[in-house]
Amino acid sequence: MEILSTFVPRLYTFHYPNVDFDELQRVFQEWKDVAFLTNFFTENEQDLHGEYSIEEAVVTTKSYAKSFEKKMRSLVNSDSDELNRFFANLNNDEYRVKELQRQKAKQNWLRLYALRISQEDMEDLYVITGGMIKLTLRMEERDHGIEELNKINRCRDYLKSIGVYDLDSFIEICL
Amino acid sequence: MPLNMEKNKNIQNFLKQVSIKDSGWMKQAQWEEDNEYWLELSFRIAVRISLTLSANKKANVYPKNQVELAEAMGCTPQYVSKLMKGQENMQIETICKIGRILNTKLIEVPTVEVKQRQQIIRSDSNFGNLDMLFTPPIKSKTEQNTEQSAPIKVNADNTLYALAA
Repeated sequence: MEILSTFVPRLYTFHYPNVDFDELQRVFQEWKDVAFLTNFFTENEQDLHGEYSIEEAVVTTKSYAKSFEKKMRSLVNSDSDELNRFFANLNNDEYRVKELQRQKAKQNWLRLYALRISQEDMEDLYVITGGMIKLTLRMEERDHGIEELNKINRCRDYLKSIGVYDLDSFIEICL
Repeated sequence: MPLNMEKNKNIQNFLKQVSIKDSGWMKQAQWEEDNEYWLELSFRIAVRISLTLSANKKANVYPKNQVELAEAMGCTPQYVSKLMKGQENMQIETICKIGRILNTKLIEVPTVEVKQRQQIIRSDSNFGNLDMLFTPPIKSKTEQNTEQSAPIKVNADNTLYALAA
């Protein structure tokens, strides 16, 4: 498991073993890969609720990816506030700031997932753990969503193993 | 140990693990932007191929999948798999070949109607068919000289008109 820096200050990405690309690059490539998109929407056609044909969903996803890409590129010289606005807590009802908090960035049905590493008197850092096309209300409703949740949790465990603790686990250690 | 001291090590510990390598995202995004003028077409062709294969699969018509398409094209499944990503700069021959195999039009260029002038076929017994289109008759040199290149005059208001010969 490797952590790579990106073109955005304070934004990092995981690169998993035996995967050709880092997660940031991989998800964007998938969102423009016709074979991947056709398979994905064929398997999840019921989640389109007849509002999109598979062809429309594929073409639409690519256009969403381009918009997302534009948004990402605007972060090149971003300050920490902009990056903080780009990401939001993964759980909509989570208001408390926690360390190693699970984050998401979104563009229509596209999602990027990340962990936030925060520290007093320092700007937050974000590390991307993956991303997906989210067609259902909850991630847990589909296998690919469960897999992304598992990836976020594995990344948290990894960060803890290298000495990046979340507040809750630190309290546990002290006790 | 005070909580703040432990917390302050988080970012230091994290940065120690960051690789010297950068994400390839920006390089890829830049390449796509530079090649957008043909990538969009490649993407749409791949979508059409993919959907035709899916329809063939449902109707049990050959070729039904990438492997069978590769077989019909006489190339490797790896090459077809690459085409199906929608980022391959395909040759016109390849596009037409796939279109013929899948019996679908993958690329279309607006055509211009070719107009042909028909020559009068003269024979001793027949001086032409009235239904035929006639090309202007060949004129004598004197006639040509009087008609050719009427001078163009530029008016004070910059309008152009040809002077009658």
